Amino acid sequence: MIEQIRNQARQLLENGEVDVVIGYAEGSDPTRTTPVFVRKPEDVDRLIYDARCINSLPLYLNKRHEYTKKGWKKTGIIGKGCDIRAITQLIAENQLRRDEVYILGVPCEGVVSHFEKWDGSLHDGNRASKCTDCDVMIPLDTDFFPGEKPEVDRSGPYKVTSPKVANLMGMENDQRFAFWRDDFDRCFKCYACREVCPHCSCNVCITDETTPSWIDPAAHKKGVFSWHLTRAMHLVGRCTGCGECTRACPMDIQVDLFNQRMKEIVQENYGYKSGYSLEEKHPLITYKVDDREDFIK
Amino acid sequence: MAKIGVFVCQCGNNIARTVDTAAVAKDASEQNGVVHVEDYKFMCSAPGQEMFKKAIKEKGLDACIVAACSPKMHEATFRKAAEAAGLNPFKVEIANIREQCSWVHDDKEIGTAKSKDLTHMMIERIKFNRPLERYVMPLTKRTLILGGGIAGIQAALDLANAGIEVHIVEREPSLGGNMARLSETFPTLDCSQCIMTPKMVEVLDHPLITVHAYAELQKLEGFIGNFRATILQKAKFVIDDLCTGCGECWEKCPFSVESEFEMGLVKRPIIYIPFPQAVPTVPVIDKTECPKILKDKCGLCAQVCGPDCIDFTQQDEIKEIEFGAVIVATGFQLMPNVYREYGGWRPPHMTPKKLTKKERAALPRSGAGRLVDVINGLEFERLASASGPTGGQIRRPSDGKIPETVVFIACVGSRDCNKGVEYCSKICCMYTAKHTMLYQHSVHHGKAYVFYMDIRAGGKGYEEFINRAQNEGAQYIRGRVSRLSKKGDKILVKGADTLTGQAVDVEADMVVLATAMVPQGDAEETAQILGIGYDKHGFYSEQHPKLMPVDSSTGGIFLAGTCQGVKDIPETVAQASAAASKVLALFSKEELQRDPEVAIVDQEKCMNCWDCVTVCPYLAIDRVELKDRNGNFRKWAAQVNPGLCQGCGLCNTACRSKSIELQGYTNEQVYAQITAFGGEFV
Repeated sequence: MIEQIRNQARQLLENGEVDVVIGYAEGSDPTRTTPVFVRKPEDVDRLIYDARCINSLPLYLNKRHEYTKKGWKKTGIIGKGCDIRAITQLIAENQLRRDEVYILGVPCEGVVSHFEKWDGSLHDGNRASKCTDCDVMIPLDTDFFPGEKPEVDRSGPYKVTSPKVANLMGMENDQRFAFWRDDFDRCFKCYACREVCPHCSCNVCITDETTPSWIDPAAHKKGVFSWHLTRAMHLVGRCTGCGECTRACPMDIQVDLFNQRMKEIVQENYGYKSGYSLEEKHPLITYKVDDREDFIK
Repeated sequence: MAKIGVFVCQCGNNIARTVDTAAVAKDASEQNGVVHVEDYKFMCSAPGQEMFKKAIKEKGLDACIVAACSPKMHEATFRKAAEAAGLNPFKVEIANIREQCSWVHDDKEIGTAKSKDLTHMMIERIKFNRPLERYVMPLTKRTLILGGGIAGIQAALDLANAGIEVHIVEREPSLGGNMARLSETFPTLDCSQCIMTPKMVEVLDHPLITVHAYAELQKLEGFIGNFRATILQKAKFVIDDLCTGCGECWEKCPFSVESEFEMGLVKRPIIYIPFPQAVPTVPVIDKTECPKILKDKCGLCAQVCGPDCIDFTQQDEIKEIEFGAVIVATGFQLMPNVYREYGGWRPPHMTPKKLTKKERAALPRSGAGRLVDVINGLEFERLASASGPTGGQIRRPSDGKIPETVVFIACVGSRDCNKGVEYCSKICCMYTAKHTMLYQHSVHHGKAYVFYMDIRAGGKGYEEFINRAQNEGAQYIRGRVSRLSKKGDKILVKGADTLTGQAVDVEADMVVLATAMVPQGDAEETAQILGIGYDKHGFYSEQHPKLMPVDSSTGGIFLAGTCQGVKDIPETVAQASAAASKVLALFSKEELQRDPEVAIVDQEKCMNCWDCVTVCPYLAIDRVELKDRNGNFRKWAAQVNPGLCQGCGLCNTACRSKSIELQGYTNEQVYAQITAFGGEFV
């Protein structure tokens, strides 16, 4: 499979169809992989793909990042199904044009949750929670796909897989608040969750605003709560569930639990799944006559 | 350092009852930046406003808080007063201590504490108020009127007589609308055409009015004062300027189709004017039927035409015209297809033209239910009209016999939640009474029965008119009709008299249904072209049901007549004149001033996700390309058109990067207001 991808990547680079191919390469130790920017045809053999390829590469297509300012006209990108949904969402939000990317889709069998948990194989003990019930293991929108692309039924609801969400929802309000208070106590506002998110695309983040500073920059409870709640609200209907925010967190705070719960609410109320359509707008900014209004009491 | 004045109003006893205004004033005087306070019985009164102005001038105040009633009430009053005293009006804010405080609290202690908080919040907020200037927009003093019925005609004449240029767009070949179809009008029984046609001619001859007959509005862009309309002039195949209206062509035309104007009761030629008094008297060729246009056969009209004005090569034409205001007067139709309700059937030449194939198939073809003599109110008007198909003699459509017994059924389709519309059509009681009179004036020995639910005759001379109809012999039966069936050459009407509790059977020669008045079939599409609101029935929504009944939801677009709701002729005319006076008020200035409380974009921060474009209900946000100093493309950004923006603030909430702010409600102002309240988190 990876040979076909490499050949295609080589061809694209040789023909000058793309300026760069973003993919994965072997990392600093055997459990790790690293994102790699391949610019010369002779380097394509560095590209690999297996269950250790955790990173969400569409991050590098986000206009907020320097990589997009290098003057590359067209970028080839190796994408798992979930990453391609992130690309689709970026296009729907006008942060990217479809003709600026060449998507090399890979069939995915799931990835590990953290590099440290890699022990040579993927199993229930180390699989990322987003991978247990995924309907884009065969990716949706690709320019190249190794082999035949089978038809997949993706009409079903998007499942919130993490048992932790159900756990939290089963708690009383006070208990749940106590859980977050304890978790957020560790947060020191490094903003890794923001930097790694493919959808955080503001030129000036609301947390960096000073006139006025809506979000207190200090890492006390007020500042931490207002940051995480704002982040969750800004991703309603947009988060494609890559889970990178939780993985990037150095303090091991499960910040994506918010996003998963929001995804569930959006889906229940508006039947909307982010990252499946290039045109559809997310429900917080659209109005339909048959929208549920039972929250108005 | 700010120099803020705080003016606390007692509103007689309205505020003073539950708020200690002196304490509020004292508390305010201790706040940072406050240099002047007043506590007065009626701030909005003339002496109160004088006090306000005097303080601004003498103390050199640079911002004022009026702690009083809702800003909806008197914000404009005090801003105007401030302007007169030389202070920027947008440096005046209202702290609402009446509607949101004194009226909803009983406890004076709580009321006073809350008033202090509300005032304190405004004091902090106003420190960030910027002196805003009103936007000045150009104004095109030309009005577009959609629809050439009585509403459109009245509005056009009122405007043109005041010196305003008017364009009427009418989709039929002639002005007149539904009123031209009526025979006589209630409650005076004066002839509809006699009062209407002089007005139609006046419109055509008026130097300031341009009539676009047989034309439709395709697109409307722009905003109040600066609309740009795209008008589709359908090909008439007749050259307007040459035609003398002699009538040779339509008399000689060998083909005929059912006449829309005569409700399908008779046929008309393919080159036609809808009715003899049509204005303009220029015929049009129905290109969907004409064999010359379809198959290049015939062409007789061109041969007989003296001035040689028939041009089969004519094409539809697009006109683009700029307007400052629009009056929508698109009128109504009767609820289509109600005949089926009562088992009725129409022969092909009498089937309403707009039926789809499927609907046609659903009509019963033969046997029981062939009820040709069940007609609706407008068809009866044509039968009773002196210029109608029967020359004013009331004859039934099936065999032309003069009907001896006529049953009138009121509320057909109206006040019917299940099969029809929920509302009362308002005019049916009156026109049914008129019909009984017209019928009995024409057929002296005839018997008229009216089945009704209630009589609703609220209007000048209306109840008297109903009494007159009853005195002249019409028999009113309170009850509904359950079915109509054929009995010989008569129609058996089975109904009930709910006052006596008995079943009533009447053998009638003809049945007239008082069918519900509904909006035009394409009312919703028209509303979408115009960008105005409409209700669930398709009637256009007014801005405020009581206080702004002729303004649509969009600035510069006004409503007149039955497109806004069911109305009779006097009400329609009154609303048309009201709409005209609104336009005159708008055009009374040389330039348009727009409120500066509109959204503004920080284009460097904008990350062009276009969420604001998606949420904006007024299409006020454009996508623009920013260029560097060499003219090279730099980035995309949103830009608000202050002419269209209504300051609703939706874009503010949609913008994640906080790149859009509403002037007068900026983040800094709102943040200062919230923090002044002192709410601490966790």
